[in-house]
Amino acid sequence: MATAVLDLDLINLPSEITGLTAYLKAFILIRFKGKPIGKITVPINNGSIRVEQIYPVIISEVEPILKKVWIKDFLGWDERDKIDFTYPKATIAICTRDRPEDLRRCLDALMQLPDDGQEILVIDNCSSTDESKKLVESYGSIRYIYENRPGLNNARNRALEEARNEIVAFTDDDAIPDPSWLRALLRNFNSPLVMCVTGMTMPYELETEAQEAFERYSPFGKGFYRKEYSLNTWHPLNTGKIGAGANMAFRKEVQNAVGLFDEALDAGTPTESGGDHEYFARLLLSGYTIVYEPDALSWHRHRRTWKETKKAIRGYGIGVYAFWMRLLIVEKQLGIPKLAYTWFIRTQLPNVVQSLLRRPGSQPLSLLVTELQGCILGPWKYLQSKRRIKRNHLYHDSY
Amino acid sequence: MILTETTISIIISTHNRVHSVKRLLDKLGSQTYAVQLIEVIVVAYGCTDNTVAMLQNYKAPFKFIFYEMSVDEPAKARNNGASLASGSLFIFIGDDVEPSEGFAEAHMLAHQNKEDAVVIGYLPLALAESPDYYQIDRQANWEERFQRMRIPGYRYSYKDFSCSNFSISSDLFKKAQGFVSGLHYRDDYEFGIRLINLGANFIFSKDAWGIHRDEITDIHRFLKRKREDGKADVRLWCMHRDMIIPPLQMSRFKKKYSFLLYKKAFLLLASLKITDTIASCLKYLMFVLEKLQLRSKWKALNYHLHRYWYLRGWLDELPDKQKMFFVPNYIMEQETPDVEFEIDLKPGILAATQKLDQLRPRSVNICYGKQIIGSIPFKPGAERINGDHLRYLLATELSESFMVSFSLENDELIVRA
Repeated sequence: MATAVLDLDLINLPSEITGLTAYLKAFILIRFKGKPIGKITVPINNGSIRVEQIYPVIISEVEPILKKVWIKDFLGWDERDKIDFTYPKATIAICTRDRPEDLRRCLDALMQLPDDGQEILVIDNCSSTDESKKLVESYGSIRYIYENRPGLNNARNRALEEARNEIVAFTDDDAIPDPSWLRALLRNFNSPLVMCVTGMTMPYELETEAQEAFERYSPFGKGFYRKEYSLNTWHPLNTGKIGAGANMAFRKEVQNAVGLFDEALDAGTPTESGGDHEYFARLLLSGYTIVYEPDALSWHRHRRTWKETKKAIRGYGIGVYAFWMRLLIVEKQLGIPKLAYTWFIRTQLPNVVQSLLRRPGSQPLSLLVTELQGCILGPWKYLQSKRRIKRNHLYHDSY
Repeated sequence: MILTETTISIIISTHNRVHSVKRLLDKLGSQTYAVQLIEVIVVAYGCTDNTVAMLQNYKAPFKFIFYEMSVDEPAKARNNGASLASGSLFIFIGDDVEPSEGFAEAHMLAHQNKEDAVVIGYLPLALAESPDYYQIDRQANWEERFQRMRIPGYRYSYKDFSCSNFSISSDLFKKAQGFVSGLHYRDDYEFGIRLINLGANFIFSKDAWGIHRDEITDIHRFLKRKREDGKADVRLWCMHRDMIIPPLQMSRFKKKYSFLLYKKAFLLLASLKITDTIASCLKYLMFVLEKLQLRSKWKALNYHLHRYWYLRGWLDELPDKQKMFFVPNYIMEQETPDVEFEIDLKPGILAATQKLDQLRPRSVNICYGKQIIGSIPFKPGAERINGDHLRYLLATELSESFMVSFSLENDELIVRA
């Protein structure tokens, strides 16, 4: 049975939440004065949740972070509010392809953002119909750009090129940013070495078993603590925990600092994913800092069917090994084989063993195997993708 | 101080950097601040290139004074520059800095309505097109130094002071009696200590920026510099024993003498020629590690070589074992001065911060009603405590004990409060 997704603020807790008869469990995001501080999963009895019954669960889950948040709120002090800092202006870029319904939900959410002079840009990456174009035009203030080279990274590069503001914030078309999302991202561009800020992504719905499995297996949320990633604090090639392409922002000048996104990577190419993480690695290797900011909250609609979910997980496996392949052959990063070995021995293999032994909390074997298959294919898919691009360039050059 | 009609004296000391100083002067010609209110004084010391010829023929849009010194001593050069200056605000800038157009104006504005202010300007480091490991590493450390000064409530110390980009009123400069001679390195730290003792207020200005175009420092030069830093720190410590702790990473040496008992230190004392040769060879290993993209190994080696050459600088100044023992012992046996003041947060954070702003103690005990939270101890070489420092420390180092005291005193859970 499905899991209800709820959003509660400790400052304004209701005594009872009702109308949940269709659900057996609830996934609850806990906030304090709008700031996300934790998540819990609790059972639902007779279609309702009495908040005083779940209060101990909330406290045990959020207490450490609540203390930190409360004290800063009480003192009116925050390390992010640097002296002399002024918020930079942003361009929000949504890369989309044939998903007008998702896009509508995303654009509606972006309309709820406070007006700080941001520009909204929709990059239509080879949609087969003009539905997305008509939808964007119905909003009036949003710029529509058609990118005819297929591939998510081509769309991202186009967004960097077209953006008129200092910061380019990317969201996926199947994501729903929170009203405070953009400001929370921008607040962290307070040092010239911060070239990228990633945000936290929570599930928009958990209506199917596949969505629940996806959230357990590969959650987009990377925790409720803000983190700064740099060469001094993190292995620059291990970028999986830094964030995801569905919720990230860069300085526009990033293209001069480390080059463009690799068009051979990510959705719309044989590699299926990995473009964001490869770019994170390049930033870290060049000495820049990436900040993970949980206050920059966005909600993501996970794939609803098992077929789609398995395809996505396989794609992630391919993407990881494809971007590692790029780092190995293009950036000459000789630490990649060791990293791949460590991931397999310390994470993937134990997960498979746990799953075979049917240990509680273990991941579904089918997803683990699917990901491993993707990993094996990853390097070849990257080379295939490169060949395809080369062929296309030759084809275009000859005409 | 000041205002809109302030005359500014920009003082530059230069040594054999003709192209850099020419670039700097050209940039100073296009400031947003009224050019008739700017004078630039260049003191060329010990120059053997054609700096002097260039300066003699330089056509400046502002009042331009040039002075030549044969002695190779930057502190003396700066003092000579200051003695020739007639402005009420002095800006000192390094000869390898490329200032922004609003540089002078931002310095001037940062002084407005602030007594005894010393403004430290932002100096972003220019990177080569394809930076190597050393340059990337240096830039991260360099930037971190400035960014921490932008955190609200940061407590400045003499180590934040740099001669490459700062401004000070002529009165305060005279009161501090300028830079001391005899310290080729760390003369800025020494001046910073005396400014803090005089109660100067350090302020960081992001807008008073200039790009630091250090085109000559590489890993070889930097390691040499580390040794000089070691020497200079010992001399500095001898001058201000109560105000500084030499940055010898003392916290790593938990027990007395432990760093001297360490094998490396034993070898170092036993045979300097051998260890110097090993350290020099290891420097080249760093290039091999970089070629092989073995970054973590490179970082570890870089760290150890820096420590070695720094300690080597100590040995240059304290060449026998007894003296080497004496310095860490002296530091560890120093008694911490008594806490000067106690403050209760129960009447409110605002009242406490206002009181600290008024009294500016060197150390303070903090309590909440009957509960003791902790203390802000005396910090050698750091500025006196103010209200912003209190907020910063309560939100970071003292947060846990503050929470406990607050909840005990209010007799309820923080969450419910």
